[in-house]
Amino acid sequence: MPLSPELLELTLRATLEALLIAVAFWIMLFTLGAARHLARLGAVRVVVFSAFMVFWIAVHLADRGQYFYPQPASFYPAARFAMYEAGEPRETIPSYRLEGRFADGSAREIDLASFFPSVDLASLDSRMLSVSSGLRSGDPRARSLAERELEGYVSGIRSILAARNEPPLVEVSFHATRHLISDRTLVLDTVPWSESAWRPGNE
Amino acid sequence: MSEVRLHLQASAGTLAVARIVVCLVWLSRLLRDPIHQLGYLPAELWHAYGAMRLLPDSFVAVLIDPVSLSVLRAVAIGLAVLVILGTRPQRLTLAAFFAVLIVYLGVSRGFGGHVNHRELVLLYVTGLLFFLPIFDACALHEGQLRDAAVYRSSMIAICLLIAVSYLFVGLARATMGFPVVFDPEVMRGWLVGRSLRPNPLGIEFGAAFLDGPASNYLIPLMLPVSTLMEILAPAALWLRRRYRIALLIGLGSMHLGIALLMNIVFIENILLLALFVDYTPWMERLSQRRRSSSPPPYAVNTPNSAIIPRMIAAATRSGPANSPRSIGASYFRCMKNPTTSRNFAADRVSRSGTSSGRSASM
Repeated sequence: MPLSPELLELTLRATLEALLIAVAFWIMLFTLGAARHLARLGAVRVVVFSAFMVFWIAVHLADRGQYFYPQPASFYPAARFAMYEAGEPRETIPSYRLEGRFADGSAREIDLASFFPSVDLASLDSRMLSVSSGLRSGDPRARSLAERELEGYVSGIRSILAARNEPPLVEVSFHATRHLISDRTLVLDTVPWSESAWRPGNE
Repeated sequence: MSEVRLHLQASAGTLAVARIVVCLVWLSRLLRDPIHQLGYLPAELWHAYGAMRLLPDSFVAVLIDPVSLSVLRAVAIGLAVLVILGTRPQRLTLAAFFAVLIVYLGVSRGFGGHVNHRELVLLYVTGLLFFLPIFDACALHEGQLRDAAVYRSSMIAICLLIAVSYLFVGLARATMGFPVVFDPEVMRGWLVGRSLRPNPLGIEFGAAFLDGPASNYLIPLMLPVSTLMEILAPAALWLRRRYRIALLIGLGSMHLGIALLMNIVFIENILLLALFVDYTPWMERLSQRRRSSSPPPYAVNTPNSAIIPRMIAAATRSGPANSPRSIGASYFRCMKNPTTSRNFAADRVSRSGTSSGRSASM
C-alpha cells in the first residue's frame, strides 16, 4: 500500500519521537547514572519499574487516536502524555454554547463543566465538539447519536437541578458557533438542536 | 552533572512523607469532587476506556448512580486515610486504593471525549508506591528499616516517573508539531477557544489577557518555553539546587498559566512537584526544634507522671518491633528521628537488641 505524503511525514515524525525518547532514557539511565540508583531497589522492583516504563512508552507511542471520540482502542489507565502537540494557523475556531431558559424566567448559558466538574473541561470540550460535528453532519445516524448524547447530558442537568431544588430547565438549545481568532467575533451561530419538552409534573 | 543530586539525605522518613504527600494530593482531589453528579447521567453516555471494558455491564449499571458513586468516593477517601496512617494490611490497602482509583478515574473519563492525563501521573506514582518501602516510618505499623540508599533510590524512582511525564509531552510536541505548532497564531487560537468557555473559577483571565497588549509579546514565547521546560524536566534530578528550584518554579508557573488562561487546572501536578524539593533537612531542623523547645508531654509531678514514658518504654523494649503495643510510639519516633535511617536503625537496635543485616551494614 503506497504511503501518502502526509502519512509518510507522520510516520517519520513518530519514528523521530521514538528515537528521541530512547536517547533520553539512555542518557538518564546509563550516561547520568540513574540506573545505578534504581538497581539498589532490588531485582524485583527494577523489573517491575522497567516493565511499567516500557509499557508506558509503548502506549505513549501507539495511542495516536486518543483525541478522537469515540476512541476505538484505549489503553487506560495507560495513556499517551501529549497535549497541544499539533495545529496550524487558521482564521476561525469552532466552538459551542449551551443556553437554557429556566422556570423562574431567567435565561443564561449553561456551563457543563460546572455541573460535571469530575469530567475535566478539556475532555468535556472534545465530547461536545464531537456532538456539534455530529449534529451538523449530513449523516442521519451521526446526527441521531449526537442528539441522544445531548438529550442525555440535558437530562442529567435537569436531575441535578431537581436534586438541588433549583428552578428547572424549561428550554435548552445547543449552539454550534465559529469565532474569528483575531478578535473573537462571532461569525457563525447555528442552533442544530433544541429541546423544550419540559412541563411541570413530567419529571 | 553526572551524579543524581536529588534527595541526597533521603531516609525512611523522606519516603514516608512522599507517601503522605501523594495521599494528601488524592484527598484534595477526592474531597472536592462531586463525582456523584455523574450518576444523574444516563449510563449509555458512558464510554468504557481501556481497562474499564473489563467491568461487567451489570456492575457498570449499578456503578453509574449517585449513591454508588458517593460510596466509591467515600471508599477512596477512607483508603487514602488508611494509607496515610499506615495501618495493616498495608500493601493490601494500597493495592485496593490503587484499584479503586482506576475505577474512579475511569468513571469520570468515560463521560468525556478523551482520556486526559491530568491525574494519571499521580495514579502511576501511587502504583509505584506499592513496590517501595513507604511504611518504614511515620506509620502506625512500621516495617523493617533498610539501607538509606534504598530510600534515596525510591525517591529517585518517584521523581523520575513524574519528570518523564513532562518529557513525553514536550517531545511529542517538538517532534509531531515542529515548526508549525510554534506559530504564535496557533497558540492564540487555542487561547481563544478556551476563553470562550465559562471559567469555573469565575475569573475571565483568558479574555482579559487576549485583549491586553502583553499578549502580543508573551504568546510567541509560551509554547516554545513550555516545551523546553517539559523536555528539561528530568534534568531536575541532576541539577544543582538553585537551578532545580528555578525549573520547578517554571513548571509550576506553566501549570498556573494554563489554569488562568485556558481553564485547565493541573493542581495535582503542581503539588507533585513538591517531591522534587529536598525536604529532609527541613524535617531534621523541625524535629530538632521540637526536641529543644517542647515540654514533656506529661505533668512531671503528678502521681501518674511515669505512665506515658513507661508505656513507650514497654512498647520499645519487648515484643516484636511492630506489635500493637508500639503503635503509640511510632509517630513519636518518626518525629524524633525523621531524617536518617541510620538513626532509625540505632533506635531499633536499642528497642529490640537485634538488628537486621541490612541496617547493620550501613
